[in-house]
Amino acid sequence: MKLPSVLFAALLIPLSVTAQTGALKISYNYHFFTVRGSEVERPMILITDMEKSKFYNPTTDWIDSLNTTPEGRAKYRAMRPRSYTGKELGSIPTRWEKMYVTKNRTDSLITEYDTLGDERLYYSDKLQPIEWNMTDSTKTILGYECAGAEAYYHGRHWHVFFTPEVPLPEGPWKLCGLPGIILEAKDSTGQYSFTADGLEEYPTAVPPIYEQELYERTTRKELLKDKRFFNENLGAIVTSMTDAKELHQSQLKSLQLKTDLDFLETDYR
Amino acid sequence: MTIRILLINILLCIAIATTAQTNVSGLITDRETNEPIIGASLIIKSADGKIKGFATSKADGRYTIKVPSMPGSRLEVNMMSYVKQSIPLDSVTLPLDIQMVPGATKLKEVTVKADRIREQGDTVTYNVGSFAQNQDRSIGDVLKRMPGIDVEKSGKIKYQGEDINKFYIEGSDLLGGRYGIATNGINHEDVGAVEVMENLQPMQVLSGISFSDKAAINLKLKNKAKATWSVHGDAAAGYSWQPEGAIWNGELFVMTVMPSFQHITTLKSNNTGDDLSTHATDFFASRRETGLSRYVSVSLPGVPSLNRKRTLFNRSILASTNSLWKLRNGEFKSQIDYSFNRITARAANITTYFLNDGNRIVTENRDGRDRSHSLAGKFIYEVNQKTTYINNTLRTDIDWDDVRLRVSGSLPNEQSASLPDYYVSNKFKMIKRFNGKHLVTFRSDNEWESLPQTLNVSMSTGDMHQHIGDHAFYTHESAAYAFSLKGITVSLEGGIKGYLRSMNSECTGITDLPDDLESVINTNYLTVYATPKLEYWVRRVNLTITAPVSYAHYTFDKALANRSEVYFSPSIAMNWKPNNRIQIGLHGSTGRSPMRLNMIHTGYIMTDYRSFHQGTGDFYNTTSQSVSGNIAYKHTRRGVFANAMVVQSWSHLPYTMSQQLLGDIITYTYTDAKSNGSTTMASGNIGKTLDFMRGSANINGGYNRSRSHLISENSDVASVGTSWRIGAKISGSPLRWLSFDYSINHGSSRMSMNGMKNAWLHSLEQNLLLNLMPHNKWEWRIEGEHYRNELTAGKFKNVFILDTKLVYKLSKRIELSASLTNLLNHRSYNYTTYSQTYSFESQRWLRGRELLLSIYLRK
Repeated sequence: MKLPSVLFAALLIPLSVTAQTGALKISYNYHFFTVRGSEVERPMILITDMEKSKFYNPTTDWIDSLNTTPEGRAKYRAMRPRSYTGKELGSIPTRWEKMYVTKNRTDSLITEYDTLGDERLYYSDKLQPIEWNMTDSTKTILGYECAGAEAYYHGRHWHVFFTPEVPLPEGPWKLCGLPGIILEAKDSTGQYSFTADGLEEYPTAVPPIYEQELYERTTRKELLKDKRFFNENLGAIVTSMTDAKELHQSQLKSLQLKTDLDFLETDYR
Repeated sequence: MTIRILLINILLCIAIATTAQTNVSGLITDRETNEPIIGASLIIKSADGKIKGFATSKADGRYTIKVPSMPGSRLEVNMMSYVKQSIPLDSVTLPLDIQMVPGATKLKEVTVKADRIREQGDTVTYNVGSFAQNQDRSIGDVLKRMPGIDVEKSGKIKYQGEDINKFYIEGSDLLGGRYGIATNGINHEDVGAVEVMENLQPMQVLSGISFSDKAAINLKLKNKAKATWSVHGDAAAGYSWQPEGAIWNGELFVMTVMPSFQHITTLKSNNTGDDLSTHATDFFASRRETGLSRYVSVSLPGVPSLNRKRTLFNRSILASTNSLWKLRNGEFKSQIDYSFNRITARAANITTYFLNDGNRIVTENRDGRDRSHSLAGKFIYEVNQKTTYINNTLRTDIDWDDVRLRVSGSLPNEQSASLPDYYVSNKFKMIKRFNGKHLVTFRSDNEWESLPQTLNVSMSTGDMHQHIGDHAFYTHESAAYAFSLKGITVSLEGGIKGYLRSMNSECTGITDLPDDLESVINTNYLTVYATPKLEYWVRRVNLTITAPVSYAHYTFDKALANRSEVYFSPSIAMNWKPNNRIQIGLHGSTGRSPMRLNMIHTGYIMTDYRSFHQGTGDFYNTTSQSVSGNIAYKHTRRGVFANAMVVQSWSHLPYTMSQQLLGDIITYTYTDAKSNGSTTMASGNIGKTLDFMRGSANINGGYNRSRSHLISENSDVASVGTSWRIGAKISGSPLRWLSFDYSINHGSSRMSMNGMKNAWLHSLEQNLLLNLMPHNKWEWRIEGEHYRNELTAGKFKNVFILDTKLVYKLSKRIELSASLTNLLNHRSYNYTTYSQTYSFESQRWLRGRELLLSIYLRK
């Protein structure tokens, strides 16, 4: 008699989410200008349940998951030809967006993983509440009614829209702590924005970060400072890492940082 | 003055009062367990709905929100998996403790993703929800809309022009090639995504060693459809104006997909023109090596080239049950199907010959019935691991086919044929991989088939009777070794094939033919063969060369002289994937092969009431060559898929078929003349998503030219058939309340004999379906079909058929509908064609107007 009752229950809740068993998957379009001024759009995914979340780029995550097994590594190697022209580059899966952010509300921890050249770094911080202020603006995103809020966070002023219809205090990147999922976030300078373009159930638990053992521990500000250094000296680092000759003047120029642009967090200097 | 001070004081007090902060606090608990709830989201909204404050319940279930106290405020408490609560704050006492009731948190269904198609490595993922239209029900309906995927009328699925090689449900191959059961049965709402895995090598043991140019499809089910029994059923009954009487259409589909067990059972029956036999066709079935085929062919009168559901007068039943158990090392599958089809067809032809001494009229009315039963069972044990592959497949097929055809008119007769077919086979294959580089394969196939055929013809001049007994046994044992080194795989397969067949035929009651009406023949052979194969991977190119060579000894039990033959049929294939978007393939082969052994018989065999076939009296070899090329392109982000292919093949036969009219009968024999044939085939397909209306479009075309040769009435006839076709289809949902499907196909064909070219005959078919949703519970469908068939040069026949359907969605589980098909009640397809010497009048019957009321239930 157990089966019919289960069937009946399944009948009644076709599109429901049971937090204990499943999670949610929100996909975002991450639009930003790099510190060198190029405009970039990348798909990002947030998987979240009641306790924790993982924010990542699906291609990077897929490559990292492949690299956990010898077969996967072979498969990934096979995908990358020995030499390629710029045209092909777009179609080869590449770790372009290397950032991962995980939040654990039970332990109240936020962890960021990032890669600078061949160096992988991570740090964990206490999950501090963000001081959000409600605004009067409202918006409908993906059919969900959203309310506006704003806050200063690590050097930038963020305007976000969240939906109380999905009552999880989550959002893209490190943004969180509102009584509903953040479906859109824009920083006041217009350099960074996250816009949700999908929200669905996620069949299994929040997946782990792959190859965690490769990351070295650091602190948030150290990571940002390293990142600044890495980007300011990219030309020299690339030359030293490979046996490439000195970079051409025009190449060096393209590597120059724009003074008005900075990272997602600017409170490191 | 004092009044002013007083007034200011009062105003100040009011101001202070209105901005006074209140602490709303309390405890959140689960009403059923009384446990505190952590992480519940609390919002205080003002009377105008604006959020004035929020908080989250802490580890002890407590919360505090500081808000300016305002009249009309409400506290909203929300938590995933609990029912949302909204409490007016005006009349409550603080602290405010809240008990939450477990319930569902509903997600919006309109989660339109930017990416309808995603690509990751070799896997292309189609989001089902973003392709499905309201009029779709099964996953097969949605597959047709996905660019790059092509579902043929038979139900066969192609990806980028190539047949798929596996069909998985949640990664398990439950149905094998009979995936029509899934595509016609699984509700698309149960499927989250369709994954296409390009170049999938289904045998893990061969992964990285042997290349596969085929793609596999995997259905990713939604969570709610997994680990549960999903059931849906459809029951419809109604009335038809032709054939007059009651009609029905019923279906029951049961599926479960669990980690270690999968099951699908489906029962279907209808008499509304839906041919169910295609639903259980095995698209991966390899050719039966028993090599038997029916000599007797009594076919029902042909139907006009309209959609089959317009012309099929049927009673069909299909029952199929399929289970898969995952065992510790492997899996066991059982697939059992039964189908019954009763098809009737009628035709009336009047031919008037304009003769000098008056007109001569020949009438022919044909009325036929074909009853076929088919029972098939397949039992498979498979181990598919990285170092071991084992597969044992036991298969039994039993078919009974009874055909009765009455012809009245100028040459009245009645034909009845009984055509049962019994087939059993067991195929075993084992591959072991050692040290990652060495492969050893053993294989043992055994097949047995019996195909007795009986044809009785009653004519005014007497009765004719044809009986054929035909049995064959085939066995094939082989071993292979392969090793792989730095991208090169070399393999050698060696084996032995044995074949025993005996056929006897006897025809009685014939007076117009020479007395050679009996055959007794055994066609046996023993073949030893070796197949060296070289596979080479360099960069993104795969090159495969195979060079099978065999020695065969044929014995014919004194009917023909025994003989020995050597065959060599090399082939070369190249596949180049310069990047993830483009794939180019080239293939070439040449070879010599034996003729079909069932063509050897010296006696005449009656195949229908006026056709008599005599086989060859000798053994022949044929040679053939073929070259082909294909290219596929895809750009998943833009949703563009395109492919094109061209095939050229030549065949050289040392014998030629010769047909001769002897009074009212036609005889077919073979003569020693050489006969060369060739075929050219080209086709192309471009598909694109149309995101602005959640739709897709497709353009396809094809060309075919084949040359063949036969001898008719003692003169050589070289015939060339040329045909081409072009089609387009588009579907989408441009407005919230409207979705549509439109397709147009134009085809043209021409036959020329000995250089005399007949006129091109064109045909055009259009189909438009509009689905209107004036309300979310109501749907109204209107479907129109237009055909414009050219009967003879310049003479066209137009047919317009209109259907309509009204659907009421009582709930997500229950749907009621009423449909009227062939609203204009076209009951026949009549036409007359004229030439200088005769006129030909033909009449065929169509399914008339039908009213069907149905109820659809879904668990």
